[in-house]
Amino acid sequence: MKGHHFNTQNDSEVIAVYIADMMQQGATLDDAVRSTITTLDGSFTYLVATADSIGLARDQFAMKPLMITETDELVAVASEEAALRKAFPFELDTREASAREVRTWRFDRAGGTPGQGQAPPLPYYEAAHAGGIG
Amino acid sequence: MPVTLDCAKLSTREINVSIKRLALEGETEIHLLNPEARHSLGVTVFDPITIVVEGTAGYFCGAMNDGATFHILGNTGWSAGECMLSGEIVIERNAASSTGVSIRGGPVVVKGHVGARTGIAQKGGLIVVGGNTGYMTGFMIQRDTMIICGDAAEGLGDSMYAGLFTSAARLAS
Repeated sequence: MKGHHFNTQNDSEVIAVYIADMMQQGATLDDAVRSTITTLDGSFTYLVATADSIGLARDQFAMKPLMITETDELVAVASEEAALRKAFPFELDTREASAREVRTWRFDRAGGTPGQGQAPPLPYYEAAHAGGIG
Repeated sequence: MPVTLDCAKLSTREINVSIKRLALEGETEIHLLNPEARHSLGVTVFDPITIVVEGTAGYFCGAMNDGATFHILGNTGWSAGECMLSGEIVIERNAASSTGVSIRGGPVVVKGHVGARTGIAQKGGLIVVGGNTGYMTGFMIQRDTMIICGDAAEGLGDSMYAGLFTSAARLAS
């Protein structure tokens, strides 16, 4: 990478700078996040947000926790289900993200609600197999 | 009528001490209300009682269990039933990573999906998964059986010493 300014001593900042660099070169958020699965070496789970999208990724060893709740009305992610329960006072259909899982969603400004993702949501097993399952 | 403990009004230590005290007093069934994904519910229970978790449990639910029957009506976090010697754990929905790790006895039944590293170093007992398993399930398994009704992720049985996997669906290479 060239000419990027780092603001912290935290190695996680590399992820944000790397994704920003890819997007400056024309990649979509989904492309950029997907590429980190093979480009970054180490264990990680991260969330990333742009002005109109959010995304998540979990590394190939699935070492760091990530729980996902997804319904027709909402998507919520957190490192533990206890955190999700603080936000939603009812039982949730939650699952752990799989190894190499990548998801992105784009915010639909016109409708004011989360719109279709850049990659359409897949059932669990299809999402898992698409990314090399785990 | 089973005894109930309201987790929302008790510390984790108070819940687990109450379970042991109630078992000593002869109770046979305890229901945990409002678990809200609390960690370490019902660890080190050595009595043949039934514990019903009416919701989702956090990490280490039923860990080191020796003789108790756990019925979790929601999900579980990491390491449910870790190091169980005997007894039974039934999880109605999904379980996260490291479920049933190092168990020596007793069935662990998950009706939904499980996360990564389920049943690693299993030394006995039975693990049944209704859905899919995560990465490296059964890593270094040493004995006994795992039944997977859904798809098995990459690394199933990596470095296994002995044991048996049966799967109804697809296995990743």
